[in-house]
Amino acid sequence: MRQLLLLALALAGVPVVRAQEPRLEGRLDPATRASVATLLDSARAAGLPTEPIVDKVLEGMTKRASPDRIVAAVRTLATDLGAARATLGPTASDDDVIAGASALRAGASGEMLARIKGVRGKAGLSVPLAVLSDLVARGVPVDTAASVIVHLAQGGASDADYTGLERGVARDIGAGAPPGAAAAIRARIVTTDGRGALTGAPASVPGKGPNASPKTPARP
Amino acid sequence: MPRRIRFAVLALNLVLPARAAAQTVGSIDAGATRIGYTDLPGITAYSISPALQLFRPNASFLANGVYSYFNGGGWTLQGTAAGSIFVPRGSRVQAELGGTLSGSVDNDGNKSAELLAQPRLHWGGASRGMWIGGGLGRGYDGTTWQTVGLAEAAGWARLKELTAVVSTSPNWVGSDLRYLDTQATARLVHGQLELGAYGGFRHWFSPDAPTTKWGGASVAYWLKNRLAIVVAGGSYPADLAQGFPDAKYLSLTVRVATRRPPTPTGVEAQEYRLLQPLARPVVPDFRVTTTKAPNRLVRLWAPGATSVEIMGDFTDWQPVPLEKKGRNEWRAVIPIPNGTHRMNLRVNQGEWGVPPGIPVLDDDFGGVVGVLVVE
Repeated sequence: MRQLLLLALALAGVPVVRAQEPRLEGRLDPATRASVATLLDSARAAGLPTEPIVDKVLEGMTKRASPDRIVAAVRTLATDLGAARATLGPTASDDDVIAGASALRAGASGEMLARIKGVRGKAGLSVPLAVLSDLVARGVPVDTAASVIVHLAQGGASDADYTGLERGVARDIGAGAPPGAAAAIRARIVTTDGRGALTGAPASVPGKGPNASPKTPARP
Repeated sequence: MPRRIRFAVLALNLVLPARAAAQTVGSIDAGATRIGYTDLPGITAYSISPALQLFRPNASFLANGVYSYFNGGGWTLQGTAAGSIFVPRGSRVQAELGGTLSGSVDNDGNKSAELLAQPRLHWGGASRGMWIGGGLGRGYDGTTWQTVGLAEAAGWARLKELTAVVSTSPNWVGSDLRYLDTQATARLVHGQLELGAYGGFRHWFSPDAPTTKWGGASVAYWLKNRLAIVVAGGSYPADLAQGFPDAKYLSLTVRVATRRPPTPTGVEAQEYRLLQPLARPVVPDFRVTTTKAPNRLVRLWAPGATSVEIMGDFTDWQPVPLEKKGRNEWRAVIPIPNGTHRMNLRVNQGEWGVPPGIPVLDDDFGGVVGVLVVE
């Protein structure tokens, strides 16, 4: 039916041209390419970032996933991106939306995202949301991770503070600390001892660690 | 491999307080075993054995069945299921409530069964730990039901790829049988190779009974992540609760699995949420350092590897080979922008996996993907 419609449009001179993604050219069978192209078009129309979608397709192709599985994964990702956009609003940057989708995928709720957004105000959300996803991936319960992120935001934490928190929690977990406890303790240190402790530096050395820098969100 | 010994090896994952992340592993073994009983001619059994292992952050479940057909005619069907719940989550001290149900039937209508409840108290960290516990239940050896009981104390340690467990356990079966079993078990996972070894002795609490000893080893070579060849041999003690005699054995098995079973990673992983995948690190060491931004030097240690590749969103998911430097080190300089990236590694053209030390996610394609932060 869809082919007939396309044919009719073509015969009527109506241009039916989908935006092409050169990295996908020649690497997908026609049916999968059409499904992915439709999803990409829909994402663009909804103001969603398409790079993560292309990325997911490339990943699936290299891993020799079946076309059905690739399309399903991309559809899920597009849904998460749409949900993140709906929660974070039309003015949210692509990075914020991508980070939001990652956080939703990690188990965060829309309410959690909205709360973090409300506390952060006009500050970017990509770093705190990326750190939220990272903490959950490291085993921190999502409720604890969200509380820590909100707690830091309420204290005016910078992006560097969040990345410092992430490093500290990773180090503590590597040393054998339970993930939830590591996150809670690191967050407590931030609010009591300042940034020096947060980045793992001795408490007598104030300021951020040498590697503290903003980060981009993980692609979901 | 005889059912009880194989189940004991599987149970390494259950007993250690390292359920780690949620994972389900199913497998089917098919093979032949040569079994020698004392004072009896040897027999050959052809077996098919499905097994299911479920791991959750605070629970484990193992189920195993074996159908064996003997070359002289006759068959046996055996099965075991064991489950445990651990509380509280994420603590270095945990209580385990576990239980085991097993039984068998053969072509002559002989039956056996054992039901055992086993509470334990665990203490441990990521690399070592111990537990004490006990068990109480009933055993049926084909003629009578008897009360069976045991107490146990054990310690375990993990050093890189090696996990070892030493346990000692006084047992009683019915009103007459009293003995102390002491056993050591070790498991080494090195690349595609899994080595297992065990040995123990039984000391009887009666002056005239001789101490009995047993031991054995197994080698599993994973041709792919879902296909392995397993060779095992050794001896095992009598199971007095169900009336199985002691024996020696040598087996050759082909194992088809949904994926390789997880390697225990320690109690720190117990708080991983249910959907969190667990991946065996594909290399033991992995480092990324900045050379001249955005170029990064990727270095890893992969003993025995003939090829190592990396890919991620920073390569548009195109595999990039690493170059071998020295005996076991592999390197590549790759442009990786600052930020958080998804990535995979693979060794010897195997399954795409994740290096140690970075978060692991489901990749939506039935595998895993790592999250690499570059600053």
